[in-house]
Amino acid sequence: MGAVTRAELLEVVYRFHPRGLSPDDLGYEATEERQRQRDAMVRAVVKAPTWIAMLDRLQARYGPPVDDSVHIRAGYYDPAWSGGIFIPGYTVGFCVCLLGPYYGIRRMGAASEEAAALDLAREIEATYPGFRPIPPELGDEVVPDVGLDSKGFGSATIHHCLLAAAWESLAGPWPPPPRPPLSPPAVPRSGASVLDRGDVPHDADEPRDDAPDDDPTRSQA
Amino acid sequence: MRAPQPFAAALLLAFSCTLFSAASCAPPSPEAGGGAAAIETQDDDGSDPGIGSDPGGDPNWSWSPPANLPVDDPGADPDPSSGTDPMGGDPPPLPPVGGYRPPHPPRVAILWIGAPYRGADFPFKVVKKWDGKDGAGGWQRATKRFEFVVRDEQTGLHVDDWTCGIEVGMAVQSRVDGYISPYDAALATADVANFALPVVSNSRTSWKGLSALFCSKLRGTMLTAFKGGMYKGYGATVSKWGP
Repeated sequence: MGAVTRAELLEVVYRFHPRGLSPDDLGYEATEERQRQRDAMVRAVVKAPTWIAMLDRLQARYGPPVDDSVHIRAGYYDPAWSGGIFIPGYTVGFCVCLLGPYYGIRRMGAASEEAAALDLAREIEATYPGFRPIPPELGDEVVPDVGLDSKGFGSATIHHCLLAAAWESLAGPWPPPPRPPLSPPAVPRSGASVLDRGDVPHDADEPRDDAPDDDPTRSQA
Repeated sequence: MRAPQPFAAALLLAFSCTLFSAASCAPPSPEAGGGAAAIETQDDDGSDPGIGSDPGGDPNWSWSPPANLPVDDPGADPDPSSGTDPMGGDPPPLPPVGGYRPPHPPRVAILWIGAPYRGADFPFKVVKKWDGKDGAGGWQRATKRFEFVVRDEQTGLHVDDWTCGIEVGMAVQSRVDGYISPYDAALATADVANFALPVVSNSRTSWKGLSALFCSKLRGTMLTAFKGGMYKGYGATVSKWGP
């Protein structure tokens, strides 16, 4: 069993993703490639018990894992079974492709992930004989002319096409760091004239037409 | 009957604004940051909510996206003739006619109709019950058509508008989080949508004419927020809905 090559990965991607068409385009649903996606999903649903049994085994070792493939069993398409385990301080994600004999383990590079990642690889290869890991340097390569539901042309990689559209989010620190703070809604001063977002704030020194007669700013006008 | 002088002056000013350029009539504004940043610079301690402070129930209420999030697109090249204030998307202005030259290309702002979103905006319905056999299962979904309007910041005039139909689905039973009620699902989705919209909106300086890209990026950002945040165990999907 040889190493995974870029050419074979691209061949699989293009077999299941029409070139030059995004899911937003008319005609996408009628393409042969889209039909192949649906056929692959139908075949995969039959084998769902294999995936669930693997998650049960992982649950015994790591606690409840993330099952990101419930939607496949409910009839929605995704290119791979997807899940994650929790280890102290991190989550480690993994995917088993439905479109070809490939899998991927998403990790952040922390030393504490090493043992879990090796264990996951052994578990996946024992459960899905013949499946090979997609090397990260190939998986992160952008696929020309392919657009996904949530990835525009020029941003979809082999990982996105064959494993998960949210590949980058499958692993990370746990619990997740707080989100960047959002600016609160802009609250203008009482009495300020606001038409809409983008309205320029009223200058405090500028005389106002609606100021009372004894307002000192009026006398400056 | 003569109109009072101030009223006549205002009429004359409004007429000249319409005839030439409203931008030239606008009050002076900070050059950087646009209207949103300008509003944020107000000296407001927050003790007085004032106008527009309560978004509840107002479908046309909108708020400014944060200015501190990364921008992955610097926008179009600046007008070489002016050398300042690049605003993306629009071609360089035509040569001046009659000696008049706009001070700078128009600023645009996105309004998100109905934002910030609440759980009630995402009425989840269970389409497949959990059979109780596997650790996770069942399926529930909600659809929403997000509406966006782009306006010129200084004139308030309509520039572009579009909608993004989005379907969000998630498990009814999660291995990690247990039972996910439609109420929980709706709250999580509203939280994710309120996070994702300013991120997407701020990632370009102008979205005029880029509605498909905007919708694709919105779906991707919402999906990433679900998978990479505290809702990781929900098994959520975000996909296109409708035309």
